[in-house]
Amino acid sequence: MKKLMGVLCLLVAFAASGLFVPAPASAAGVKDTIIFAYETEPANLSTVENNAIAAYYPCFMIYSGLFKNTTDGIEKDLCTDYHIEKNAQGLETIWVFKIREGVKFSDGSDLTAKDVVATLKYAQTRPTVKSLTNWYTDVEAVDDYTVKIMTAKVFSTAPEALSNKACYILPSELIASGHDFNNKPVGSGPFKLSKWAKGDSITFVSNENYYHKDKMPKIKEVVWKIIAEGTSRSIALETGEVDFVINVDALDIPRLQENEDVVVSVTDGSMFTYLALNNAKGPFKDENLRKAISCAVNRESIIAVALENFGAPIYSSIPIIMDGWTMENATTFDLDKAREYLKTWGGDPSSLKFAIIVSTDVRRRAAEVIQSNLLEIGINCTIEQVDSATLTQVYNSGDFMSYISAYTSNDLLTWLNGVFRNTGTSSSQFRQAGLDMNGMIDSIAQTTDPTARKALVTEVNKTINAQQPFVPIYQSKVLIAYNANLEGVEIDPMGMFRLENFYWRK
Amino acid sequence: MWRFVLKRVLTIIPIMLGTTFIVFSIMSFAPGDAVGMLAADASQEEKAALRQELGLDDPLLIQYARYIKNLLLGDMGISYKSGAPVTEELAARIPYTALLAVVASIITIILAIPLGVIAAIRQNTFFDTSSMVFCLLGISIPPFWLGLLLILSFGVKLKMLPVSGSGSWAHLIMPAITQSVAGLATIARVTRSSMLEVIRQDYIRTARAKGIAYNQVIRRHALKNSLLPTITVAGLQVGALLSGAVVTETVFSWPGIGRFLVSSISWRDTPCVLGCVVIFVLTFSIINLIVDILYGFVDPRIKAIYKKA
Amino acid sequence: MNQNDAVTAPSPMDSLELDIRDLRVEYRTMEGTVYALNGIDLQIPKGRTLGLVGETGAGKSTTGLAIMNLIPSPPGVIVSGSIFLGGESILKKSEKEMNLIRGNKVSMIFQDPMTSLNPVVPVVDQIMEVIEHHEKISPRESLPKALEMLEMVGIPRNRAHEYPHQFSGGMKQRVIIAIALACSPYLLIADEPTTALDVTIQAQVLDMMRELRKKYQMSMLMITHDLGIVVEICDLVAVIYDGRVVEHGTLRDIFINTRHPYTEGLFNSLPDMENPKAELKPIPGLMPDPTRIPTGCPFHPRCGYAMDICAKTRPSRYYASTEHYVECHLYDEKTVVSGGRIKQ
Ligand SMILES: Nc1ncnc2c1ncn2[C@@H]1O[C@H](COP(=O)(O)OP(=O)(O)O)[C@@H](O)[C@H]1O
Ligand SMILES: [Mg+2]
Repeated sequence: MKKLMGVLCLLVAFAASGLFVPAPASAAGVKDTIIFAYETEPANLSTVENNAIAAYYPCFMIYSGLFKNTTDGIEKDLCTDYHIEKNAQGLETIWVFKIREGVKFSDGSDLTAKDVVATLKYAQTRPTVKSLTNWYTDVEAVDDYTVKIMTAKVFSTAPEALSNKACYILPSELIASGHDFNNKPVGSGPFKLSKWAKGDSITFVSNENYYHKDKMPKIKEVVWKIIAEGTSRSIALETGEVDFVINVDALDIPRLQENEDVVVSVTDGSMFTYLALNNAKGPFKDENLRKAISCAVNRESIIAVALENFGAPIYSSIPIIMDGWTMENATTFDLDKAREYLKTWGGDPSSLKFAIIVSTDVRRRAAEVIQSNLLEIGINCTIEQVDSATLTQVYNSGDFMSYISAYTSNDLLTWLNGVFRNTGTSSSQFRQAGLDMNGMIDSIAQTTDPTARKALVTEVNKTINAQQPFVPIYQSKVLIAYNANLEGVEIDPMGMFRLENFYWRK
Repeated sequence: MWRFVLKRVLTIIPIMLGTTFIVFSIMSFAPGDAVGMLAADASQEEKAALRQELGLDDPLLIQYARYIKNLLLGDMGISYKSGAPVTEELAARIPYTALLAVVASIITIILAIPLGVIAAIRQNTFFDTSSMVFCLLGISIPPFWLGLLLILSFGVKLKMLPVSGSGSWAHLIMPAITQSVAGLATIARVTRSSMLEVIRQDYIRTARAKGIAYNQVIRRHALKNSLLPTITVAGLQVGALLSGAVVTETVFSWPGIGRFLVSSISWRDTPCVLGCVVIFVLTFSIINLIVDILYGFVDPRIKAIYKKA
Repeated sequence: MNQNDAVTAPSPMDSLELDIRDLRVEYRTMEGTVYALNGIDLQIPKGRTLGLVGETGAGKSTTGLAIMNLIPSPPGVIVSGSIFLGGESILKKSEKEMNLIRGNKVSMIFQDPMTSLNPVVPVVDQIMEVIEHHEKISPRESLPKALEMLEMVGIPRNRAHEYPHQFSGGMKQRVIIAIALACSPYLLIADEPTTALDVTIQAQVLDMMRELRKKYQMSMLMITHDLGIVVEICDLVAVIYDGRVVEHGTLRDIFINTRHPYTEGLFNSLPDMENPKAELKPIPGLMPDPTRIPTGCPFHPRCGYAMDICAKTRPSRYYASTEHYVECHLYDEKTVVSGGRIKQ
């Protein structure tokens, strides 16, 4: 019996030693590794197999595209130059891009126009990123380093669209051979995959073939650790097991701020959270009722209760960072106004019966505040918490009165498309308030002149505000905390950063 | 004996069919699907295309039949979420859950049985009372809370152990303790009460009347007899280890199958969920079988029944 | 044996295998204290068999366990008294010393053979265990001895490695007897060895015990409530009521010259062989609640001859002969010899 136990223990010990992913040892005291903590594991490391935010960070490390999104806006990356040409009808629908010469993929092969064409065509065939790649109709290589992209209509934001990871460049031969980009990603980004311990961590090392010699990563190894629990992430940072925590639990911020070894970064975020109301059927078809609700919702107290004050109230219907944003026609918190709108609506507020559907704890707390706000003007509602798949189903089916959701993008068109475009699905129709959203979005897309475009955006913003299709609530802050010895950290409003700039203070 | 084992192995088949069918149905009827999660903003046609690619537009029974057919061929399908084969996804995670479960079980058994035995033979002493209070705590403390408590004391305050991940033996200590406490407490209590029962038996008196020292009587005569209920709960406890894995793995960011199952459910990733279910059912069945075979080893009367069967 | 002076209590002598003096045992439980033995005296001369007779609850098993020093504690407490086994005081021995005596110098057969063997150990191993322990030999050496013992109690060698559940009650009792005798004890305590067995089996087991007793020349304490067994196997009889010997004597003393009304009652509750139609006269009432013992003679509430004094004082011991004595108010030093009773 004892022998058996001994043998068993030995076996376990043996098996275990193979499982452990040893922490990277820093050579001779020089720290050459950075460990990130993030709550969810990317579903897939391929650029085109899913569109969840968790995959963005790793994809930005492994791959690169013609353009990239930085804190200063869109920048050229693999593209060195571009211009727009007119088509036969005289419309500006042909984009011509010069591709940087001498760029190599991490496997050593050269990146040429052929790869750009193959990638963009391939991305259009992948279902999860179709909505990000349906703006162009054809792609062709003019020569080894020139690519032409044809769009159906005038499309002013091709560079923005090409900065999405779905359009990052993959080697054409590998695409043709059905390569497994998930497990063996090959790209032209500053890093390459070293090891993916599923469920635990992903390790990247710098890509020695990276073209941008000045921007070679200063930290050679990056470990992307999956820590689902918010408090566990903060604790791991405090104990020094990780160096950088993305999405810090708001509750942990005060404690981390007191810690001298940790820098807490609170930046304005673009995650636009709103209370959706069913514009297509039921009482919320009436804009006065929608406005009454918007006037009754006390954003400040929601932010205090649900976000520990780490958020900014929003009233206008597009993100504040967008060029052309305006408060005109937007409703604000004002109970008297709310009662006025109710009167105009004419119905009996106590007759309203509806549930606010939410999928996270933070949003449930927000809904609870809304619930008590609405009670002030005599409206009763309930709260229903479901998981996110159920919520998606609910709003796709149109079988709802209201729910809380959020959307984020740096790019106005992507944002407008994501929130308002009528794609024929019921989900989009419920957010329209009878507006011709597609027309407005398209006209913005087709306006290339920046001043004209800004004016147009303001106009669109005003029009949407006047209809109050939904109730904007808050933009949560991006909460990040990292080791105080880390330098070169810049975080954009989506919570994204370029970690090739990071370095350790000597 | 072998026929008994074979029979029991064969019963796994209907159990497997039943459980996978139930889980498949629940996943199918649950609101939302993987497509909504993968491409929430996609248009109707894009979603339809994705559904078709994933085979989600076939009738449910055909989907299920296809799953079972492939399962018999050793193919557990492709994860909707990652696009990787389910076997690959599971293979990456099972070893961690297994390691945690085995280590937790070893800790549990090594500590629980002596604890229960000593508490029983020293009934109503300080040792007995204090260890039973400990067991009561062990059963009532939620593992989540215990895990955080350990993290705060050994990780944050004392800085003795790493708080998350799976890099070394040190990483294993706190999850293993968290995993084993409830089982340890349950098994110790059961062992104690069954031991109390056994040491009152006539054959213990017979053995003592032979002049054998009390400690040896306990070892040679009481232990084996008191083990039946212990084995039963120990078997159940291993099941609890699997379900408890979800909480422990979350608290300690241990890359096991429990967390994987939860995230697969929220993604409506039916192939992965079914894959986990298949593994769970197999584990449960095998453990049950081992428990039953152990019964036979412990008690010749039960072995005789197996021989007849 | 030289005990002419009946009044002088006998002293522990070499010729006595067992000598119990004024033993008091209590079980202190939550419900109250059970006075199981209340000053019991028992002597067994070497090579002789004493029958300990009494109703259930009289304290017979407690007596046996006390000799083995195996009274479960808690709740059992030996309050006072002494037990000498082969001249050595049992109660002064350490547990370690006791473990050299139990199963070796004194063995005990327990009441219920069905539960007295370990169900998960083959029977032969259970015999080997005691041999190995006392003779300090290896399993290899003890096996032939154990098989021999089994054969002696009438169990074929080829069944030696079977488990208790494969044996009948009688066979189990034989195994238990083999365990008890394996190290040739000087004293065998048999606690109702046949109560749980069929009548035919009872006879076989008793026959066997008688033979073995002769073979080993050992003394025996035969605990029973069956007077038939007493007749068959015992030399001396002690009738015990409420933890005390109320009448003691040879077979003849007890069966022919019955003195105590309780002993009488025991006989009357047996069917009469010669006159099967005669009415049974069981002793009325039950044993007293052992936590609340009646004052005076504990038997008086059930005694047909009870007098005023019986409820007040405990009767003292009157000797009809050196071996035959009785504790009853119906007698005095003289009447006890003749058998005449004091009338109220
Ligand atoms: N372990 C015990 N705990 C409490 N009371 C006991 C225990 N064993 C015996 N007794 C009590 O002691 C008295 C004598 O019991 P016992 O010696 O077994 O009688 P007998 O063998 O003559 O039937 C009975 O009243 C019985 O209930
Ligand atoms: Mg008894």
